[in-house]
Amino acid sequence: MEPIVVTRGLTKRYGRSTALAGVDLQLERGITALLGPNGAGKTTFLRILATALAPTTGSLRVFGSDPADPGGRLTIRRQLGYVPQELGLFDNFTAFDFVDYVAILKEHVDRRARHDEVRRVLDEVDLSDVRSKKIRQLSGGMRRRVGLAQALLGDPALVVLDEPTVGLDPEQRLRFRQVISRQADQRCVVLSTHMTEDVEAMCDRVVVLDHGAVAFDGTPATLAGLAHDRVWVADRPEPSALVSWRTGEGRHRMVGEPPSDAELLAPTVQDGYLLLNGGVPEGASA
Amino acid sequence: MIGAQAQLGRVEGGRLLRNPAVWLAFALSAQWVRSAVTNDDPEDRYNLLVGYGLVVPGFVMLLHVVLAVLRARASGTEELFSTVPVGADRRTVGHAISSFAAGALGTLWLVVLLVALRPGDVLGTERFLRDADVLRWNILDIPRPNVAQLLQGPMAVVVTMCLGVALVRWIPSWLVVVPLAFGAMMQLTLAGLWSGAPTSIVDWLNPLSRGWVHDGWFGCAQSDDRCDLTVSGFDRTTPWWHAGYLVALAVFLVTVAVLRHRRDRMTWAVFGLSLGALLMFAAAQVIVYERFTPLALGGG
Repeated sequence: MEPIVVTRGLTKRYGRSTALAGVDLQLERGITALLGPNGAGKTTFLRILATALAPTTGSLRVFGSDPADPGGRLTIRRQLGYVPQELGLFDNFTAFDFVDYVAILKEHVDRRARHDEVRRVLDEVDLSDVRSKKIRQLSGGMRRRVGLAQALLGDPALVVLDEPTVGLDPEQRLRFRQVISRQADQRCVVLSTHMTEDVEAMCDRVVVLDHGAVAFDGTPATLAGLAHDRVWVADRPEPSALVSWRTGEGRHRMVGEPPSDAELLAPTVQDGYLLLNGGVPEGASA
Repeated sequence: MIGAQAQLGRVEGGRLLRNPAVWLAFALSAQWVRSAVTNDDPEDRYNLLVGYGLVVPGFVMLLHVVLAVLRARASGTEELFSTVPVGADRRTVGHAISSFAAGALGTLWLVVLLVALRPGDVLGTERFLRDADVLRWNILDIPRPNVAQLLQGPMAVVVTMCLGVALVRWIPSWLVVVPLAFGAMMQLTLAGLWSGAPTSIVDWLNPLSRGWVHDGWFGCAQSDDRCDLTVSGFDRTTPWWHAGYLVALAVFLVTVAVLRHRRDRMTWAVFGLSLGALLMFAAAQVIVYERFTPLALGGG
């Protein structure tokens, strides 16, 4: 399968600090998750992918086009859907009007066809009922889905989502998962997240970034497999555990080097990720 | 491809037409029309017909377009908008196209004025004091403004909107409305409606010009409480050149706005052509405008 995104030695520096340090990746159809601690370079990578930011060095090809070239950039943008981490919306617009506005900016110039498309994407994210409501009247989850709806306009071949489920309640997250996973067969979806459950539930591939470099690239099952035979449960915390926590049943779940008689558990993506991160829980790293 | 810009202009223009503040401003101007109809004052009628009734609505529409251009920045959608095919340069053109809605509203206002005032060839007769010592008067028939003068108001509104777009593209802050408010007040007072300066080319470089032809001061100092300029006629030729000047000015301002984000050969070419046209029309105004029309003395 022809890769949709190819990066070679992608680097981004802000003054003296390096956000990306030579990232080599090929992304195809399906859902790819970017995991990593805060400051690992996820957002920088996604912004470069979305043509919002230029790399310092290295090459990027999306659909074979170079975003550094104005013509290539336009080609990419015509096939791109993007939801930035801090997505602002026009609060005085209705959901329909906002998505319609973005549709114009995506060159949907035929008015009737554009309105049909806006209705389709709002329907896709289950917002048809509130399309005439002002955005300021919508809940946080609905606003996020308005953001997703605009990203789906025109069936883009590449969808880039920066922490799309942050701040959503469990029900909204499930609904979001449902919408995103429906896209997987037709397009390349790249999303960053801190939610390992989301990765496990819907992603074909996971890339872990650490200090701007790729620390892991594989399937969620492979990432979980890194913790094979290294997750166990016991009545008391073990000193050999890299990380442990008390479960709801009053026992202790641990990741690390188990004792020989340990009661082993099936590992999750989170366990694999914790091991990869040296046992530092998400967010504790700089 | 201009389709996206045109659609954006249509949507932004639609939002302008639905803005209650715009209609409120027109309601205020309507009071002036009512007074002109009631009082049968030819000078008031003339001022309304040449576009002065549009100064306040025009300023409100200018505020609207400034806030519309700043909307993406104010609401945090700039990052998203930096990844769509229609870039800031084309969005600028879209905002400028939305000024056609303002122009259309201005034209509708003009139609309402024509219906309400039903102007004949002559709006009325006014007496202007020419010599206070011997009480000599200029007695003038105030003519109905010609087509170029009638269209001046809607065209000036379009120019004002384009000025707002250009300013806010280069200085992205709503504070740009402060000098523009000052400009609007100047237009409505000193430099425009209640002209306190002798007729000069400056009047014709403003978006709105009354076209009154003034003589000098008639025997009092400028510091006196009551010190008008004597009026001696009406300039009927310069308005046609002024119409061309306004068109060139609108195109020039849009090009200046676009240059903020796009500096290719095409944009520079339009910039050069519009600047050339602007200078040409300004020069034409300088050459043809009527400085003073001697009149036969009227009776006192």
